[in-house]
Amino acid sequence: MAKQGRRSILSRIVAFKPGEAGIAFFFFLSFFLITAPYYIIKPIRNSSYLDQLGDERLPLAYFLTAVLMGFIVNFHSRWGARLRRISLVVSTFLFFFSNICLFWWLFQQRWTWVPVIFWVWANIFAIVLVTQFWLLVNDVFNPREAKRLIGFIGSGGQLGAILGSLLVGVLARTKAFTALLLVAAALLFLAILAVLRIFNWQKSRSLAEAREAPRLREPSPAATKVGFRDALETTRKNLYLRLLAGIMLATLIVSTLVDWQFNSVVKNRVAGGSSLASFFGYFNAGTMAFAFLFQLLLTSPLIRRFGIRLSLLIYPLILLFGSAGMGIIAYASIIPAVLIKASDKSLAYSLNQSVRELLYIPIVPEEKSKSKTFIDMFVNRFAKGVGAVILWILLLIFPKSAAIRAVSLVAVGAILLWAYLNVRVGREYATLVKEKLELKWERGDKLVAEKVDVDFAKLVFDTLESRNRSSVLYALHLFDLIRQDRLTPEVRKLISYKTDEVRASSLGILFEQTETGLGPTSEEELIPEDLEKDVAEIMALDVYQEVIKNYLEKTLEDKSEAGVVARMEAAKAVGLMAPRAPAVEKLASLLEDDSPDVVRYAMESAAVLKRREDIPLLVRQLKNPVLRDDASASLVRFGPKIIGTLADYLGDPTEDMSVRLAVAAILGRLGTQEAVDFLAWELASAEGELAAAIIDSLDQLKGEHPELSFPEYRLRSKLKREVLTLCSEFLRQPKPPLSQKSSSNIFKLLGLLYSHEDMTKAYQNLKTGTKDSVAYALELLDNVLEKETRDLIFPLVEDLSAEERMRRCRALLESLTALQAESKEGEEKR
Amino acid sequence: MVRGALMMKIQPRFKNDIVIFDIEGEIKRSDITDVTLHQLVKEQLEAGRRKILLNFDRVEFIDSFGVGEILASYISTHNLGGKLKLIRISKKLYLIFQVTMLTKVLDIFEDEESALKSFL
Repeated sequence: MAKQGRRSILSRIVAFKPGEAGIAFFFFLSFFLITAPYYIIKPIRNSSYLDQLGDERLPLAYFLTAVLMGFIVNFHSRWGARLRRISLVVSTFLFFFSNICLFWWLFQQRWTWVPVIFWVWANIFAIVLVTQFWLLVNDVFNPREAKRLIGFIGSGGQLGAILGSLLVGVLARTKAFTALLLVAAALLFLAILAVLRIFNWQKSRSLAEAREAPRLREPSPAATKVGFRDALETTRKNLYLRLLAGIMLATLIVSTLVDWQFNSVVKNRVAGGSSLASFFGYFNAGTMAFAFLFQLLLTSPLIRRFGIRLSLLIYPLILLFGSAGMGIIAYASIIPAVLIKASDKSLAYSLNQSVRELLYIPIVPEEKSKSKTFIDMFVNRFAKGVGAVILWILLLIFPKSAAIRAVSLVAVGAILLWAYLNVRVGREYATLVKEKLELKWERGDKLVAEKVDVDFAKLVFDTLESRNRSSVLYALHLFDLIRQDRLTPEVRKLISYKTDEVRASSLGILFEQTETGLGPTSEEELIPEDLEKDVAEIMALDVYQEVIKNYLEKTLEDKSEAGVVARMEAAKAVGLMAPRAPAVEKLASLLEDDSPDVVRYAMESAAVLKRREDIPLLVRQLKNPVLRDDASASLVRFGPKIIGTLADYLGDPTEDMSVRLAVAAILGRLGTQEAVDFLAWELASAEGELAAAIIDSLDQLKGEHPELSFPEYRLRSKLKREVLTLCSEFLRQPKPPLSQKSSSNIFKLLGLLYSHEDMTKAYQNLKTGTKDSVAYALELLDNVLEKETRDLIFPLVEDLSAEERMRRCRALLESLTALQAESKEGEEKR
Repeated sequence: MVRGALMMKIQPRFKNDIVIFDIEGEIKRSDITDVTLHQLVKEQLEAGRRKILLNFDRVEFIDSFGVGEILASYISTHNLGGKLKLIRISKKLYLIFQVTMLTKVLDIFEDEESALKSFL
């Protein structure tokens, strides 16, 4: 009962999904057990150093740490190449555990160099263990899981920091001061057990997921075979990694400057080694308590609400105001120094660290392993070194009283650079997330259009088919091939197969291998140079038109089986004539012929002649499922000049629905702004299958013509209505909304308002992706949609329980209905 | 009787009630002469003959003007209830006739004998 109560309180704070709570707890515990020893070690580090060497020598400690960190990165990377992640982590923990015991002994000896070594070692301790911990988090969680859990996991670190700091605060004044190191050692040993538990869990999950999809959790051996130079090169070559390194550099320079200001002010106000340690202990405890609460309660909600981009700016902006204030107004007072340091400390270890770790998640594992080690270990300390050099220079130039103000102003400059880099990395993050998603399939029509020349294929098939029907029809098809310059050797070979079936055709003879004994033999000789011109000239003759018109009249009267073929020939031949030639008048009858074959040929001719009077006859054929595709193809060939006419059919509520649907599709193939405008106009009042057809056509237009402009207001309004419909459907019948056919409408509309490719990728991966690709799809939407749209879409697409989705759908319905009522009222008033 | 320009020669001959025009050379617009094929056919029609056979065995080239002459002759013959038939046309011309569907209108034969029989 009590357990259930605890779970429900925790569940209110952390959005656990089924099966996540256990592993999240062990991450929490591990971080707690890493941070607690560090916060015991840190005040001992500070107080022993300041007590024996003074704050003037702090830059020396920063500098030594920075230099040494290069070697540590190299060593860590090479060591990592030889060991599996688990062995690397456990051996590192054991190494630091033994070191703590050793320092406990060294401090008993009271040698003056011990604080210097301890300072450097303590920094390496923190960086190496924390880096390894976050690499593990990166390995295990995808961005969505991490966004949900990072607040909770990170709060383990803050809790550890509070405990460690409190222990120091309470015990520092007693004789047990150095004995605290043994407590730190014991806690670190417990951390090893917690980390081992995580590895066990990861192993069992990897086995389970190996069946689902390949998911790279463990860096490949090749990935870890790096030294310092490889890590540096990997980071240098990649803009995103360079930005992350730049952010680390700027952050740590600022942090170093703020840290010096704080220590400097505190040193002057608080006297004595144990008093200093006690002050630092209480201060750390206080800031960590704040950081803990911030991390547990605010970090994840802030990131989820504002996204990574805005969350990245919170920390630098707060420091910017603090540093600017300290530099300008109250530079020597302990209160502003404490406030800035407290902000720095609490946000650095809560929001900032969480967001920074999230930024690493989309990086490919190989690069992540190299660059994170380099950035977190080397750049981190290098930045401290740079900060130290800056401090040195400032201390050389200014007297100590003025140096604090100068340091504040330099910090302001560094913060501005840092904020700029954060903006850049936020943009790059979205790009990286997009790259993690693959386009699973193209639109069928686009694929066919790209890979198959449908018209040509149809012509070849018709040519082959016509061989058995009529020599004239066959000749007309071959003439088409010649005219289009498509009588390639391959086509000749294809159609020459069994051409003896068409003895009567003189063109058929062209493709026969044997001599006929009549006339010329070579194909080049047989195909007149000016065949097209000759045919056109003959057809333009009045006598020809008279003869053929008479022939067509007779042919149209013949309703026999043989008459069908004759009408097919006529329908095909008419397409070769001039649009206003007398014989072309017969095309109308051919377009209404009883035989679909005749109508098909007549529609092709109508498409060539492009006579406005034939459009209604073609549109009428859109009702006929057998001829609809051909009629559509013919109307498309009329081109943009018929868009207005087609729009009339589309907007006519009395028109047959099959016609309106087909017209919507035709407009989608015409690829002009006018088509977009008409479709978007009709979309405002369209519902059901007509709306789906219009949206699909607009989607096709956006995919093929991204340069066209799509009216945002209409589309957003439709998007809201579609969401409303889907929400209502879900409330009536709680099936996953993405399984509903109409969900594609929503994503197609999003594709019109945002990047078409992004939305297509997101939809496809949400529908059919693995757990990770679904997470990346959501992350993409989270990063590219603005809040209003995100709030509209996420209740439908997020991985939610049925109850939670129902709750959010109801809320959405209420707010949308209220909005619609308001806008209606507003319109009425206007 | 040989009439026409150098480029085109048309020689009529008679078999029973059938007039056979043996055409030689090129029938094209650029070589229009004072007497055309159509005029010759009309002369025969005016003379009361209603069965016309055009022999293209020795025709080397024919352009759209030439086809127009054939069609005009066909119409004139047809309007008087007569019959006009063609023999020995080249494959090229046959090709053009097929594409223009004139094979559906005109009676075309490979040799004179079968053409003559068809008049019976």
